Amino acid sequence: MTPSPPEVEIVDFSKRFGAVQALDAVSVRFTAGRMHALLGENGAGKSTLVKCLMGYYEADAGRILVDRQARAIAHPYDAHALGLGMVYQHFTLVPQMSVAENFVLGRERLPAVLDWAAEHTALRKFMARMPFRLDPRRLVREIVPLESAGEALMAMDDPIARAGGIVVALNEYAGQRVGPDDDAV
Amino acid sequence: MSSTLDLGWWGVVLAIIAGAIRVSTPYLLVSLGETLTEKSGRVNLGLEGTLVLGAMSGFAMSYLTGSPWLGLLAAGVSGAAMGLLHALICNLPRVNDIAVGIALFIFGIGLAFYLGKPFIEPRAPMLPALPLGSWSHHPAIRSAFDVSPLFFIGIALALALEWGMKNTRWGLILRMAGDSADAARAIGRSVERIRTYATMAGGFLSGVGGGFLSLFYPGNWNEGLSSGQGLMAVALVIFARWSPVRCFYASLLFGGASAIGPAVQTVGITEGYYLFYAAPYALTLALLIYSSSPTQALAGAPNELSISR
Repeated sequence: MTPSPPEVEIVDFSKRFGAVQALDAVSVRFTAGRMHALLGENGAGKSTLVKCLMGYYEADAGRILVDRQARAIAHPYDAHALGLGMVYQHFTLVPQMSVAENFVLGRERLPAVLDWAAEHTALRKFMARMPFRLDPRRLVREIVPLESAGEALMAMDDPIARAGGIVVALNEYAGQRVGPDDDAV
Repeated sequence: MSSTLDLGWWGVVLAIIAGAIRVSTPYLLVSLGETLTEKSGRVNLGLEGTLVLGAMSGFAMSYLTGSPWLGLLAAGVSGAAMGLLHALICNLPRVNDIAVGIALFIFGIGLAFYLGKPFIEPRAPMLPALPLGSWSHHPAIRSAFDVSPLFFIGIALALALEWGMKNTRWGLILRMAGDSADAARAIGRSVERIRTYATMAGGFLSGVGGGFLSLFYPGNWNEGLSSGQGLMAVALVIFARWSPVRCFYASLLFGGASAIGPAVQTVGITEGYYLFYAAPYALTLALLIYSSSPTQALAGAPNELSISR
């Protein structure tokens, strides 16, 4: 059981891509246990904001506060270590790989040699608590936008329609960090 | 050659088996290297140049130091350097890996011919063979089963790669880079770095394959040493559907086909044997036609490969 999820605050984020100023001193506070929505038209910078928070991009300026402490997030692993996860607008799954392989790849620390029997058991146990069933051996060619399930803060970049340009940043109360890593033997 | 005549047509069979073992090794090493590179999402068409440069470097190093094993290492290192060059150029934005491969193909051969001129005449120490035919008194059988340790290293490598791609961290990361660069970036992996390592490893193996040519069989250095093995090995990877173990079977097949020409010549067929020499090339064409399909994408092809898109 993790303690309560963190409060995440973005202060004065700026990001420029060439001639385009995608973010210009943006500040947001995500209170714990709340659902937040970032609304804006296409190109407003919603994805950029979330991607900077997740370490996918590096912001040109600005700070990130997690529980009022300044944190450097230079890499997706840094975000992951702070309990921040993201479901990307375009699936970041590998369709040619199995469900289990995709889950395992999402981990920040992969063992040098994988114990597939244990991984499959752990995944089945995890899925027993989820409203879906998947054979871990099956290849991912369908919608499984759950690769970072159970994160304290999960940013969903337009997961529902992938059309209208809505970004939902969801600070969900995750009483437990569920995921195959916890159950692994 | 009288011993081969004694064996009659069995001599042909023996020569094809011996050829399959002997000639398959460079095919195997190059195709394993190319499988690694292609699994990461890049095609390196320059492996023929890498092979020839490896053959030259290996021979030169063996000649200069007296150690064929140091020569083999030099062959691998020169191949890895060619791989690094390919990778670094391809890491630049908007660079086509196929075009870079063709350029390095020509560059590698040119460099090898230029640097290799002084090494055409001398003899260099050769790699030792395992005398697996020592049970027989027949010299043809004995020489047919003088097998290079590299053949067994190649088999072990094929098995290790097949297992490693499914069961190890580097295997998963390599395949992820080849199947979905976006997914790799999203979890914070540098696709360029993965592909650089994979292309270097592929170049290393191709260089070693070249070292086999100049230091074991045929075992000398000249400008006509390679008969396109490096290029055919790339076709062989497609035929083997990017599976290291199938690369091994395919290499045996190509090795056997390459041995048909010399084998029929030894039993005294003097007419039309050039046709038999063309067997591996005909086989390449036939297999690619056979394995092509108008309806289905290449099964097992890494998704990020420029030929899959």
